[in-house]
Amino acid sequence: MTIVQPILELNDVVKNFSGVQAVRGCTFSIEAGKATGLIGPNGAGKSTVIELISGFQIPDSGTIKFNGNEVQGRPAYKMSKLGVARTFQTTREWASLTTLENVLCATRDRRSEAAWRAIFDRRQIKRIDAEDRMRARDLLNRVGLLKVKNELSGNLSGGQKRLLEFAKVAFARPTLVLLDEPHAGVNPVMGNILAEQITNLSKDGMTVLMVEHNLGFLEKVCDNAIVMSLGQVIARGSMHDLRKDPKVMEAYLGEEESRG
Amino acid sequence: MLNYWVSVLTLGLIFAMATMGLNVKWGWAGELDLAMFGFIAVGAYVYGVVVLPPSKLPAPDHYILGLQWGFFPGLIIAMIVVSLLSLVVGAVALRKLRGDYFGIVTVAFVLCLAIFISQYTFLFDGFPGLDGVPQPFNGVLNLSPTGYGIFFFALTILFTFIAYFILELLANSQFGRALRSVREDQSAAMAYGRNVYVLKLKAYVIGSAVAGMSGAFFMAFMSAFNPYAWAPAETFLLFGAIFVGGSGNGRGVILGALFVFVAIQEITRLFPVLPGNAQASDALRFVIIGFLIIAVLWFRPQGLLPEVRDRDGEPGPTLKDRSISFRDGWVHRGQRIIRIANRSKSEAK
Amino acid sequence: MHNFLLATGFGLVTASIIAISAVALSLQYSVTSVPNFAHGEVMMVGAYSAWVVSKHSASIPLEILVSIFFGAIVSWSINRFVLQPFLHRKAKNLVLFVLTIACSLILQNLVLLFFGGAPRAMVMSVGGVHHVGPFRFTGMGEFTIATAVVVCLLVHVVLKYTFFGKAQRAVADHRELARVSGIHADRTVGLTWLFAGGITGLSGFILAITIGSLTPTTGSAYLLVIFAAAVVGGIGQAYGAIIGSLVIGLTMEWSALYLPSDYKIFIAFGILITMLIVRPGGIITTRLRNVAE
Repeated sequence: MTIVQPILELNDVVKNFSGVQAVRGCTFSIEAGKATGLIGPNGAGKSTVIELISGFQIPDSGTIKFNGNEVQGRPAYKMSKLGVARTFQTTREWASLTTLENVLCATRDRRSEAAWRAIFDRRQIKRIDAEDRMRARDLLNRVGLLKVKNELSGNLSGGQKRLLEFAKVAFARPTLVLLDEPHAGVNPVMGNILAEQITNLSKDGMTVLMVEHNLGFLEKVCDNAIVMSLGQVIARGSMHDLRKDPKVMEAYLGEEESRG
Repeated sequence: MLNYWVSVLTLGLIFAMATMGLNVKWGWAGELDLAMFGFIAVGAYVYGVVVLPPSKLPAPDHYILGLQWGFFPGLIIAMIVVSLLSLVVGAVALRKLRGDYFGIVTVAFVLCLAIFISQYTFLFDGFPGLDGVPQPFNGVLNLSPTGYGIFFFALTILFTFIAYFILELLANSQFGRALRSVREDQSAAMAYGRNVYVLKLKAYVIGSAVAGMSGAFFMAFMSAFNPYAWAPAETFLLFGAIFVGGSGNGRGVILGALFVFVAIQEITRLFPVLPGNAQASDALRFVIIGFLIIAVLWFRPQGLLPEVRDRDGEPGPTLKDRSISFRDGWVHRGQRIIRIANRSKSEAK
Repeated sequence: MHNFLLATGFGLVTASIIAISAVALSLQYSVTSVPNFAHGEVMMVGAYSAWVVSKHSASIPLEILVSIFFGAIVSWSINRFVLQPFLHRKAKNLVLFVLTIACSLILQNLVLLFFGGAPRAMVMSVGGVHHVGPFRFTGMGEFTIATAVVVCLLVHVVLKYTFFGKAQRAVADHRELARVSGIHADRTVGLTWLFAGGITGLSGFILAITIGSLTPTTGSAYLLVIFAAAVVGGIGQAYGAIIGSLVIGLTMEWSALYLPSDYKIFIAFGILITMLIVRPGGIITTRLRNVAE
């Protein structure tokens, strides 16, 4: 019997920010190929966990294993090389690049970006560029942005920028996708489109870990979720089970109460 | 008269070279390098001491080397030395610093360099600087002064074009695109696997290499150079050229350089010389450029020739109705014409 | 030991000159988050206006007042006519910094145009050498230290006890929150630049009389030293600027015991570069804005 190794494992991860314990002993693991939600009340440390996994922050202690290798503390660009892609809470496009260029820039393949190749190996990089453009146009078409491919991405609407992020993530062909509140500030119609895009990512074989407050949206996409509160994991399971879990309700209700 | 304009344009082109170098750092990578003129000066000095004969100045005046080599070796060595120097500066300054702090560190560096070179007279003869640098190829060609002026102008045009060509190759490649992504949003660039530090360092060294080249040309052209032009003010004129011409656009920055260093220069020359104030026209030029920069940043920050936008093989310019592609637009128009034709046909019946 | 104490005395004087200017720079930075590259030029405006007065009257208080007045006006104008309009257009930090460089260029060369580049003598007849404990101070040095102390106390009193001071601290801490609490952010920022500008003008005057002469570029030559002091102490923190000035001033003078005095400025730059790389927040760490880079 083969034991399936989880693609991502966090073990007792701790992170402080000038005295505030954002993450205090967080432990969980995720199976490959599934879409998992990461939920919890505000201040639970969810976004910090994303930052830690993607290499934007270094944990104070604990281990993060990706595909069996310890990766805590590795910088973001190295995590990207290993196969991690992430989105941010606010859409971050490269404003004065066109929509198509944004997707092209999401490549994780660094070969074509060497300076010397631009002068001495032009045929090769032109070929790679042509292939990339075909794939990029295809992905833009999938999210419905093909018509604005030559627009400056800074001029796109908020919804279009969100879709662009998914095109970029898909283009990068990562193994693990970290989504940080993809539904924030998005109307319900766009939400359905986003859900479809995330499901596409899963279909393409990527593992998805999604931080999200909108539980209805999350249910459409993820079959199970991890619940965090005050920096620790307090529950884990399918959405159906979590709805009945008293610990989860307490964590959320506690937030409701303190907001009065 | 011809002599004068050839000379002015040659100098303008050399400034254009320097501006192209700065464009790599600022236009492509978004680095506010205020030490640029320091690199140009080092390029000038290194070229000088390679090309000059050994120092025969009375002590304590002295300069190093004095190899009496030719133009090309001088040029190449100048570029190599400046590239190495910029590698050191960039490696330190680009590590963690945000944009404006980086600018300040470059100012500190260039001021240290200026003081060091003026005080440590052994290197490049301190304050008086170098002079008497032989003109390239003059011994071989034996041209008249006018003829030589034209020759040097042609040489400058040639190298400016070579630099422009190579830099455009870089700009229009994935390397250029990677730099632009770093410029726009560093964190996002990191999230997609770019080692931002290394990329910025590459841009810094490439831009400095071009600076070294322009420095060598300055020295070759003027045959003399001293450390008065180190201050950030001179570098800021280069920035002015970039803002006016169009940051990120190769042709734009050449245009901007010609505007700032030829047009404005000539216009301010027309102003009357104030008695007792020999630097008046210089000062006035700086004041004008200062206001010009503020005005350009307010009214047209993208400059005269904005950065060229990727069109993915489609013809430009921008279309009125952005949701219809160029081809579809013509099909649309064609169908309308057919409809009108059909309608008038049926009406005619 | 004797030399060391002498150097310490010089260090205190140098620190005083730097402190007056660095405190003003920190105040400006605390509300605008952009290092003011034209700071040295505002100092020169103060110094030159005092010089003009000195040609017609020997009244030192008048010279001081004039330097404060013109420093304040020019500084306020830079904010009102250049920085604020661009800020309302949501210009990026780096653009604002470039604009302050442009202002520095304009001011320096306007001064050059009107006054010429030749050094102007600026002397003050405060003579005498006094021995205070183990230190030896000139009358000028004592005047400088006294001025610095007065300025620091004044800034402290203003920040802590006046409404403007409270508003300034609120805006410096969190602009949006201050505005929502009813504080007119733009006006507070303008007043801060006015207040800091006056102090800057005064610091230019002090610098000029200490050196004994001034040129249009004197201010920019010292800009980085002052900036170093502000950064060391924690840029944006007025109190930090005082500590930073002491660190820079004393280190510079102590280094003169071992190195040729021309290298003093290298020491200041070295400290600046090291601080920016190792601990950009300074000794009293400022919560750095725009640090997401």
